[in-house]
Amino acid sequence: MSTTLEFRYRIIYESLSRFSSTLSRSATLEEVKHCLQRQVKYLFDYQFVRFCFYQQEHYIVYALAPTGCTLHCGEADLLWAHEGLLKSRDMPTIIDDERLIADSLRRASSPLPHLPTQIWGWNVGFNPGSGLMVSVFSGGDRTFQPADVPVLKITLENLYAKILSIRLIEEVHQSKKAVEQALLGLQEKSDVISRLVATQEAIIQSRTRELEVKNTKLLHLSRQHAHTIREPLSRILSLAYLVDVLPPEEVIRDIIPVLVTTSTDLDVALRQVIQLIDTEIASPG
Amino acid sequence: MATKIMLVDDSPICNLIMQKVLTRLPLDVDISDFTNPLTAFGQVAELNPTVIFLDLNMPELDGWGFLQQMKETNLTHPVIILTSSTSALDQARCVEFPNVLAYHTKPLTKEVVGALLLTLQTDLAQ
Repeated sequence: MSTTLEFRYRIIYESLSRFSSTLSRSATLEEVKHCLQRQVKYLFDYQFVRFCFYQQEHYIVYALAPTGCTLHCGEADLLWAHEGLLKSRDMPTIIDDERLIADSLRRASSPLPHLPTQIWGWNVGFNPGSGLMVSVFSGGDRTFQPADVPVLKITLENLYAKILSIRLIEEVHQSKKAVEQALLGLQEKSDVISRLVATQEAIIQSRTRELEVKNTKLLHLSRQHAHTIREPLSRILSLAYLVDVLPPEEVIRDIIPVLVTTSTDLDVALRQVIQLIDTEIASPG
Repeated sequence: MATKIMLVDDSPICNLIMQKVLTRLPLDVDISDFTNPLTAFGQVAELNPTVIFLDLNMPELDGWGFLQQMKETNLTHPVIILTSSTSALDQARCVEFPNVLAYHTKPLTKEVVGALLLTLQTDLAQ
C-alpha cells in the first residue's frame, strides 16, 4: 500500500470515527443537523447533499450545502423531483439528466457555486416502510468518487439508526405524556367519584339513622298502643263473659256501671293513640 | 282450708272481674286484692297466699319487677300471670322465674277460666 493511500485511509478512518462519535452524542434532530454540518465534509466531496429519512408517511430531510445545513420535517411534498425516481428504485443510481437535476435544484434555498453534473442517489430501505434516501450532488471541484461509496454507506447506516432512535425516544416520551395526561384525567374523575360516593354515603347514613329512629319509635308505639287499647278492650270482653254467667240483678248492679267506665277508658285510649301517631310519626326525624 | 288468693292489678275493675270469676269456682277461696303493686309486695310474706294473680303492665312496679323482687327476697309463692299482653317475648320471659305456674292472656273467657281452674286444682295441690 502506498504511503498516500495509507494516509488517505487514515484520514477517512479518523473522520468516520469523529462523525460516529459526534452522532452518537446527538440527542435531538437539531443536534444531528449540527453533526452533519461539521463532519460530513470530511467524509467525501459534494456540492450538495440531501438525506431523506422516511417512516410510513413521515419525512425528515437534512439538506447539506457548503453554506450550512437545514432540517425539515413533514410529508411527501418535501421530496424533490429526482427523489421520486430514487424512491421507486432500491439500488444505487447515478442521475446525469441535466433537466431533472435542474428541476430538483429549483427548490434549493440558495444557488450553488458550481452547477452539479451528477446526482449519486440511493434509497436504502432498512425496514418495511422505512429507510433513508441520500442524494449527493456532484460536479465541479467537488466530485463524489466511486471510492466514497462504502463511506457513504456507513454514514447512511449510522444516520438512519440515530434518527430512528431519536424518533423512538420521542414516541416514548409522547406516549408517556399521553399516559400521564390520561392518568391525570382518571385521577380527577376518581376524585369526583370519591366525592360523589362520600356524599351519597353521608346521605344514606343520615337517611338510615332517620329510618332507625322512626322504626324504633314505631316499634315502641305499636307495643304501647297494643297494650293501651287491648287493656280496656280485654276488660270489656271479660265483662261480657260475666254478663253471661252472672245473675241479671248482679249484672245490673255490678257489671253495667264498670262496663260503661271501661268503654269510656277504651275511647280515651283510642284518642291517645291517634294523637300520638299524629305527633310522633308525622313529625320529621 | 281456704285457698288464699292475692290479686295484683292496677285496674280495680280487673280485680273486681277476677273476684266475680273466682268466687263462682267450686273452690273455697280467700281473696285479697291490690291495685298498688308496691303495697301488694309488702304484704306477700304476711299474707302468705296460696297463689298470686299478677298483671304485667303496671305503673311504679311492673309484673317483672314484682317477680324480680320476689326472687331477690326468696319469696317462692306460686304466681299466675294474667295480662292483656299477647307478646311472645313476655311469654318466653316467664322461664326466668320458676315460681310462675301459668301465663294467661285476657280477656277472660270460658276456656281461660277453665284453664285457671285446672291450674288451681292440679298445680297447687302438689
